[in-house]
Amino acid sequence: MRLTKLEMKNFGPYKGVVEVSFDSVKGKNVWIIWGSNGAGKTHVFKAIKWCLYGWEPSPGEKIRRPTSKDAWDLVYGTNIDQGIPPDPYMHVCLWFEHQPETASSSKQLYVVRRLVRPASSRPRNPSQIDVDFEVKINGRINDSPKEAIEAILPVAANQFFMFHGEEIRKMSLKHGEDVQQAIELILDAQTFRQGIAHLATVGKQISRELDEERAKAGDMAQYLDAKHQIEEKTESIQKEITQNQRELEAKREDLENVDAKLRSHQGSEKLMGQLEIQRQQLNQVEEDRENHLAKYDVLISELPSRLILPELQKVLEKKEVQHQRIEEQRQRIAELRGMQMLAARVLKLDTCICGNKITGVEKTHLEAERRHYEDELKQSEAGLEQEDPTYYQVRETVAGLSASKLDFAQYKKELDRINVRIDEFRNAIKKTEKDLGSSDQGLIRQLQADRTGFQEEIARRQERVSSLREMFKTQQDYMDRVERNILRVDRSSRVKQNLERQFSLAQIARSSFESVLEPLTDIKRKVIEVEATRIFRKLTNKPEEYDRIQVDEYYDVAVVNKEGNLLEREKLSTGEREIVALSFILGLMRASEKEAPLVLDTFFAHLDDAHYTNIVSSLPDFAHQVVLILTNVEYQNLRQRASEGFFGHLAQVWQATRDQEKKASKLIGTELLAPISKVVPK
Amino acid sequence: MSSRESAIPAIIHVSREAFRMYSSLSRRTNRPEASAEEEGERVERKQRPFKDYEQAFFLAAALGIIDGSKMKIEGDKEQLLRTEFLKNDDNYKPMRQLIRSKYDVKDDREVLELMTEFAEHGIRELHATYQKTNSIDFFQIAERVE
Repeated sequence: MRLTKLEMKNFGPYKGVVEVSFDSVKGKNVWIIWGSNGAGKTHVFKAIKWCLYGWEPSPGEKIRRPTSKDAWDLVYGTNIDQGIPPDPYMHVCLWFEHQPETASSSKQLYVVRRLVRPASSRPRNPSQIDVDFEVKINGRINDSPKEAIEAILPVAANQFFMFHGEEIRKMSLKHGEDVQQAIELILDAQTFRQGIAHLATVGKQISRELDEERAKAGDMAQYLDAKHQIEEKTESIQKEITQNQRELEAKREDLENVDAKLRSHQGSEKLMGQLEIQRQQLNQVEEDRENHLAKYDVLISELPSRLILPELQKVLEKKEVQHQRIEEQRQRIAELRGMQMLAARVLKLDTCICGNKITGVEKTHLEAERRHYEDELKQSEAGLEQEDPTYYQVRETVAGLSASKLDFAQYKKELDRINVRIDEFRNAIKKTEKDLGSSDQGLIRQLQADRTGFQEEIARRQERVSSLREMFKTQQDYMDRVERNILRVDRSSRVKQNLERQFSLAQIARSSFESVLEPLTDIKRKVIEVEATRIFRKLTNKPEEYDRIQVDEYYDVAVVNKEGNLLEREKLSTGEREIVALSFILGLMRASEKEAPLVLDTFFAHLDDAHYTNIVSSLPDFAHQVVLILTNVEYQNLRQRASEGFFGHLAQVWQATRDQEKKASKLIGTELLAPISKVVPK
Repeated sequence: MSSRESAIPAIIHVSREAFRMYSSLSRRTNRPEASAEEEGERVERKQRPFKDYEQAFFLAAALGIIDGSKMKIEGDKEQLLRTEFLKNDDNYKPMRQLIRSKYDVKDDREVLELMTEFAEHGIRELHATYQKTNSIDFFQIAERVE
């Protein structure tokens, strides 16, 4: 990756838009930005880092997420003139040319980070600003700008490509863990560790979920228990249904057998029917006889009157004679009374009814007759007998008794007839019974009783089967519900299994990460050792004395002399220590296997002439693009000490200046400078 | 109610012997069954020829009348039945008319006395027959008047 252009707007001490071009010229790969203290040269360094990562990572520093405070500190916090209100409309743009290893053609990268949607035109704190980040690759906006930058130059590797001279001094004093941390940064070990931590978190999460699923598994046990119970119950019901159906079949067979037997006794059945009719007829006749015998009591009750009827008739006859006699007497009296009355009436007349005049003699004679009648009437009336008052009662009684005939003969005849019929039926029944045979009767009765019994049993069994089927259906409903729950829990169980697999995988992955990290670090340590030694050999002023750089198992960086003795860094001079540290940092850069601009800010502070000369002469070889940010003193030193070869690599020089009136910095491109001995001082 | 009628006895008394006979010949009695059966002859009740005392009494009286035989009630007496049972019977009226006419009895009390005396004879005849044949041939009795 090669930086081709930098654009800043209102960044740090810079006002308005500032452009720095890093145009490539063949064979020239070094750019210098120099200036006095506070001129704004370091903000160029900061601008590159902020644009790429949103914060300013330094070697060995842990990777973190950028915040709006980083922007605030970079843009406003380091503002030289605190009296100037910060301008919220700020951005930094970088243009890169990137040649991926896997692609034949290079890609053009455009990276911009800017403040957007300021809450206020004069923001007072970081919360009032918002940062936007955008990456375009070949003119197309990338959806994952952070990942795109990380793929090209990870923030961990960046720390070894772009660093301040102060970082070399710090690194020269670092030991063990700090060195390891630096190596692990190259390895992206933090990602490993984050992965491990993440896997641990995932493991815990899975473990919690597993516990929940295991809790559900308790429900499964209940459901399974319920299922088994229902199965047992269902089986029991099914058995009972089967048994009842078997019994039903058996009873139906029995019934069919009985029916068959009864059909085989159809003749007997006919006789049985006949017998039954005969018995009914006999019963009827016997009932008639009973009714007839009831008449017998009536006859017996009437018998006394009938017995005395002749006597009563005799009495009546006597009474009739008397009555007749009295009637005759009454008739004679009536006649005499009539005769007397006639005689008296005629006597009163002068002529007879024949018209003849009645004579005196005749009247005397008539008078005599009248008197005779009168006397006789008196006698008759005197001799008239008293009527027997009971005559009419007896006559009525006799008439009544005589009218109703006490027909014992008819009764007896009817009774005999009934008795004959009874005998006939009894004989007929005897004959039928004889024909039928007593055993058949018993058998048929038994068969009929059996048939009734079987029918009742079949009905009872059918009712039971019906009831059992209802119970079976109910149990099936229960089973459906339980199975649905089992399925639900089973799904949960499968989830549990998946979780267990996931947990296992997470554990394996975590273990793998942990197991891989150490050997990988060790390998990387060796690589760094080789790269750092290679650089150290170019930089050291004692190449005949110092053999190599060693990073031991405790990540302590030391120098091994030609005799193979380990020279602890504490025993080295400050300059030597910084050369070791620089070698180590550049070794890390090489070991990162990335290609990026090497941007070094103020790093020549403690170097003696030999080291300085070595570094300057070697710098163009350290990276394909080197940007040096120097103080004016360093720049003067460089001009004095750098070789012709170094100046041959110089592409462009920029000077950072500060306009005290405008209170703004600016960058001015200057001519390519010759060594100081060739430059005419102003 | 006339003074003559008031003289009619409320209960017909018969001799103890006659009473036993009535009891033994009647299916239904006017007395408690247990005592009746204890005192009566051991005959299956439902096989007895007369349904009740009044039926037996009137037939016995009729037989006494047609035989012209009667017996005085002497010795110990037993209450047979209440008079009203007799008076409500269809046989009472003709039998009373006969007795009153034939025997010139004007008093109903006497009529009943005569009736009882005739019955005292008649029941013995019936009982004797029943004793002999274990039945009473009413048809034969009826034939005596037909």
